[in-house]
Amino acid sequence: MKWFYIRWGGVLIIAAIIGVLGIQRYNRDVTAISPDRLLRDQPAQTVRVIGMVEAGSILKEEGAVLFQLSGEGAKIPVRYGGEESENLRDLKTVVVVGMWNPTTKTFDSGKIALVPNYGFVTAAYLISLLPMGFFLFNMERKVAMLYILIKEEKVYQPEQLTEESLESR
Amino acid sequence: MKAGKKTAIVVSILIVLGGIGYLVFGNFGKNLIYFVTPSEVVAFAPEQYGKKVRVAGMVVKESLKVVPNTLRLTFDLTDGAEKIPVAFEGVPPDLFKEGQGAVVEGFWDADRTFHSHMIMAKHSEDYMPIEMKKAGGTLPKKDFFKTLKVD
Amino acid sequence: MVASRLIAKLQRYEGWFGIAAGLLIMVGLYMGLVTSSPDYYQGEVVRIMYIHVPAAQSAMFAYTVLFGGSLWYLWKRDPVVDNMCHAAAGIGIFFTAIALVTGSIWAKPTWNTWWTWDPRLISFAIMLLILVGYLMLRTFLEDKEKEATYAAILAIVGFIDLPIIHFSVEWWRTLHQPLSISTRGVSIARDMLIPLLLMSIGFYLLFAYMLMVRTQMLYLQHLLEAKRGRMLSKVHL
Repeated sequence: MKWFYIRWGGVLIIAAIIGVLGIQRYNRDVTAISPDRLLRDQPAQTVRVIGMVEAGSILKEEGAVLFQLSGEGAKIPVRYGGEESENLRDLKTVVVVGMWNPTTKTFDSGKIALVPNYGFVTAAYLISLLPMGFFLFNMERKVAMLYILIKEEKVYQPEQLTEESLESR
Repeated sequence: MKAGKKTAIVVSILIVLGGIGYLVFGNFGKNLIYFVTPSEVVAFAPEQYGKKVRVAGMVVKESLKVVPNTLRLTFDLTDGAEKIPVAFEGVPPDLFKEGQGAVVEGFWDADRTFHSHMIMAKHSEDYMPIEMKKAGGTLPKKDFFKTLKVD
Repeated sequence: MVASRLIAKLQRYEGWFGIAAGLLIMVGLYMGLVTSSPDYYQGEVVRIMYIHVPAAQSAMFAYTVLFGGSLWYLWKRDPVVDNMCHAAAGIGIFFTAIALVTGSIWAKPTWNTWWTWDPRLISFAIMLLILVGYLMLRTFLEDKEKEATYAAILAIVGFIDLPIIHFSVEWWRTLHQPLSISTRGVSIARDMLIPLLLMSIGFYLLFAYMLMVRTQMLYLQHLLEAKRGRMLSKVHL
């Protein structure tokens, strides 16, 4: 029984390490603020803003695309200067990466990212791997206990459970 | 065997059989034709107008138009042979775009337009990274229209 | 009472399957979740494929084992084979549920719906219900021999659903995409194919490992039950 718990302790530690590494890897991609927060806080550094491209607001200009990004009751004008992106479409929810320009009152962006749907991925993996681990743990524990019980009650000697001993009989 | 246990057995067998029966005869039969194609919609008889159906096809390139400041949009759906106009109201899924497959739920009406409130994206079976797509990479791609299984 | 030779073999070799499955799944998870690229169309959600497809494949493999085992049982009447069938069904229902749930989570961002009455989805849900019925049948009857026989017949009849699941996307119009790997070629980029294959093989091995453990569990339970002459379930199991 001791080895059984040591083994599962090892599995748990490895799983925890992978989990922490995974969270660190994806955390920076996930955080994005709403246009409403942006207008309130007016941060001076590069931020990621999530919102929906207002229908019919896309205006193509020389070297830039202008559009309105809305979300949580607020709307901000965005000036996008990056390479043409097929994610920039009407009614599409996107993440724009860039900086708020307080003088022109526009958000200057050089990158449009897809909405990171890691939430779905994480949910799918947790919902499968956690019950699977529990299922297996429970099953192995039962087997280990059954072998002990069987030995105690002398149903048969588990030591005999090797091929050689069976064949020599 | 006790009477209570017997009842439990009968009830649970009925539940499982009922579930399977419901799936097989109720939904399977009806959904063997999960969707119709634009060609079939064009050939609809008047009595089929206004009945709820699903239509699958490819969103015709350059056909998507959004009515500004509303959630209404129009586009054409094609199966390679015929093309039908679709009027949609609502928020389309993120994966809905021109040149991609879509299944729209709604009804065909006498105005020869398909009215819909629900779009599902029909995914093709090819998977590749964005960089590969940008570099013009292709897979042994199958014809999208073939997956519509037009006879 | 003597231990079965098959059980002795299972106890001896199960560890190798467990270790191999663990390693493959770990590498597969790392490649699938970290190093592989997002899909050009679906984006990050494509990563759900690396668990959904292996789970679905293993579920169908579990049912195939159950089918083969049931035939074998009806022929040889070996109670250990019956334990193996019972075990395969218990694990199969687990993988089936995982495939349905992960598929649903994938469908929401991709298709824009959690569930739709598509032939592939319906036939897969039928497999889940058949397995539920199978496991329920196994708890009802007092005569062990009868129980095993009826269960085996149910499993063999239910096998008809498997080809339907597999070919549903080829035979009928479905929202579910057709087979990506078929005689017409492979339509998955190598970057994504490798983690998928690793996870698939890992899941097959994991199923084999679980089957070995669970067969022993059921066998030992029955052994103890026979010794004590009463149901064991109330003790602690």
